[in-house]
Amino acid sequence: MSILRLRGRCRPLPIATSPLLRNALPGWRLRFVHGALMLLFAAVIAMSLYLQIALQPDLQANGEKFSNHAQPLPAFRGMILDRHGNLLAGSVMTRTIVADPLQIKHDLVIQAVADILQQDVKQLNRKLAQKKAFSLELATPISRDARQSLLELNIEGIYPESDHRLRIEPESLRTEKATLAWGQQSRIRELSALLDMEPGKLAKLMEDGLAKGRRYVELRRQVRESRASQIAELRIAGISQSGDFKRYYPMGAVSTHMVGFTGMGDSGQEGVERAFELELSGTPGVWKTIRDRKGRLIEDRGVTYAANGQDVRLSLDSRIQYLAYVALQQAVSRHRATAGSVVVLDAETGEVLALVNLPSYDPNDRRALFGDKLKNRSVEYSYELGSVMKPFTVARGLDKGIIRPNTVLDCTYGSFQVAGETIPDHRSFGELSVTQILQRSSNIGIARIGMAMTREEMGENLTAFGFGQKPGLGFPAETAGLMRPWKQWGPIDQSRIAYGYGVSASILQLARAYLAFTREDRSLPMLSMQALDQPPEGGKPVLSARTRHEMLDMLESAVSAPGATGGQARVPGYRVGGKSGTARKLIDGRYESGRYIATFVGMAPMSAPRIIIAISIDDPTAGKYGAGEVAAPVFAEVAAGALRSLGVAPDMPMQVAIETGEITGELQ
Amino acid sequence: MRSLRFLLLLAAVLSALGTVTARRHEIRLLRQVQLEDKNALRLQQEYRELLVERSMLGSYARVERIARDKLGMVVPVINLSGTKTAPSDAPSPPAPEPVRQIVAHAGGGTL
Repeated sequence: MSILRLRGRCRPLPIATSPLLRNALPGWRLRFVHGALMLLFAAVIAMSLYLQIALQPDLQANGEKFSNHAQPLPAFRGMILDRHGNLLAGSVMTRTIVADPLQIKHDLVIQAVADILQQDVKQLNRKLAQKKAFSLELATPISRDARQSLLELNIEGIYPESDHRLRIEPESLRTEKATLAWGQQSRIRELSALLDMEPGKLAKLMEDGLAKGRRYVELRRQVRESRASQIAELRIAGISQSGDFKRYYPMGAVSTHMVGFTGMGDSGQEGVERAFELELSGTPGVWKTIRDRKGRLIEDRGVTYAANGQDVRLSLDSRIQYLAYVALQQAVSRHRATAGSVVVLDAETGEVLALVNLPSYDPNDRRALFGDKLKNRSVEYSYELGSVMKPFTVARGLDKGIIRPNTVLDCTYGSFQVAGETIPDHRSFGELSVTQILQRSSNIGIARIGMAMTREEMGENLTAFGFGQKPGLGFPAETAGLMRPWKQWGPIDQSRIAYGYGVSASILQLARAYLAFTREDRSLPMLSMQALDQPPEGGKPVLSARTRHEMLDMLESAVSAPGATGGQARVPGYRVGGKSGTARKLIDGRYESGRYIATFVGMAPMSAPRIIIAISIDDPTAGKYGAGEVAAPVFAEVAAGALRSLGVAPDMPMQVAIETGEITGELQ
Repeated sequence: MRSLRFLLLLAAVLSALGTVTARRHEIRLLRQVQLEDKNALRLQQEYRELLVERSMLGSYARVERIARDKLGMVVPVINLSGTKTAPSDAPSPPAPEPVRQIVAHAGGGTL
């Protein structure tokens, strides 16, 4: 308060009132000092202008670098689950432990030297850091043992001057060349225990790294967070950690063609991982803060939270998937086939319950991710399916009223020519009813039915059953198969297409086509690899209800009738139906003799179909090659397991004889 | 006039103190948020680790291997004709190879 009041009374002080100064102060001195002060002020102002305007962006950036922190908030990639919520793919944060051997060894050697000389490490290090040669005064004379230990360390740059004095030359102190007993260092032992590694192996890694001049040696990848923080607590300078995500596929090779895998940067490479990349990938967040010199948080500058990727629930049933994988693997190895596929669909909704291909690979093993085995054959590979296509011709014939199931046709070998060519058959059947034609798979019989229709009718029939179209799973490499427009067909083409040659399709398309027989409304929906809440719309019916029933009966008889080609597809306790097809393999545009692809497609139980299973076994070379012997048993095995796992009640009386002999009974 | 000035000064000082306290409180809360954030991430991480571990331990391949090799279980053979079959001499089929690798992987301890 008094200051404020004082200001009012203030008067300018007379500068040179002293009589001493009056004459002795020449005017130039005053002006000189005044001028010099002004100049200094000007310099200060100029400097501050320079700092504030010219250097401002740089300085500000530098300052922000020190105070501004951006803390990354990691986002997890979504999980892939099967229809029951079992994990098919999940991400876990892991850490990689990295060592700088040079730093670690230097510290250890200096520690060893300090221990021998009974010196304080910190002090010793401080002196060494000055990089000037110095003499070290010891409190007690250096002992013989200490001398020996120093010699054993085998380092240059430490020379005894007398009993009490050592000369140390930091420049020639090459610690990396010292002979260090790694295993005796307590912290190395602790580290190796935490890394699950022999101390000797750890030492070897370090020494190898040193020999190659590496300053970045990966000690272990994929270390768990809890373990990693224990390692961090050891506080070894030169041990650092980097974090990343590791994706695990618990079912490994079993479901890999469906699930796929991720590549660099955690982005989907194959399968569902790729098809659902948008949903699965998360967006990492960031928290911007201002921190003080010691890194403590001071101010919040806004946060963007991490958004984890969405989980994707597939329609896959991992139990059926596993059953299919094991059954297929046994069949492929038993018949020495090059490849094989199984597709299991829900017979009502068109959801994919299992999809297996062989050869397969383990997506957990990154080194295995190359080559042909990555190919999702059941989705991407189309071939001439052969006899499994015959039911479509028969279905259209029934629908058009050209034939009835009991219509008898002459299937004697050589009895039927088209455009001068005899339709081939594997044997001469004589007279067969349409039902028997399907049971025995007579080419002649089917060709007769096909030739009774127009090209257009047959072309539209195949289109109605979904051939030439993608089945709709959504995989990028999904094939639509190959089907020439019906206008380009000659008569011989038409007859061949009737019994399954001349049109190629994937077994996924084949399985989908059979949905028209199993679905109550006889329509053909797109397939789905995601679990659906309600059955999908399928559009207009492909065939009449009456035809559907007749077809189901005929397909059942193609398995159950004596001498039927699909006999080995029978499942104890259940009525099943299906059709086998042994197609000759087209290699470089020619049918190679003795090379076949065995296909079987069937459904169960026939009273109310729940599943459709399509199987293809490529190039069986162990003697048997007929689909009825190679592919049909796989159907039986997968269907039995799948029906049991789905809890489907048996629809056929059966007698059971169980191997152990203890449980024998009749199930009704 | 004088007391008003004094009051204003007092108010200014109190407000300054209040601001400082509020800032301190804010910073404390912020640090708490940060801590909880870290905790949440750790728990999330643990949850996922446990999920992966559970599904690896419960994988059908592993269950089948243990059932066959350790517990000596066999799949009963059901035949259609109704006759009892003698226990087959054929050894039970081995668990599929690639699946074994995953199991080894799961037990590797480096997860």
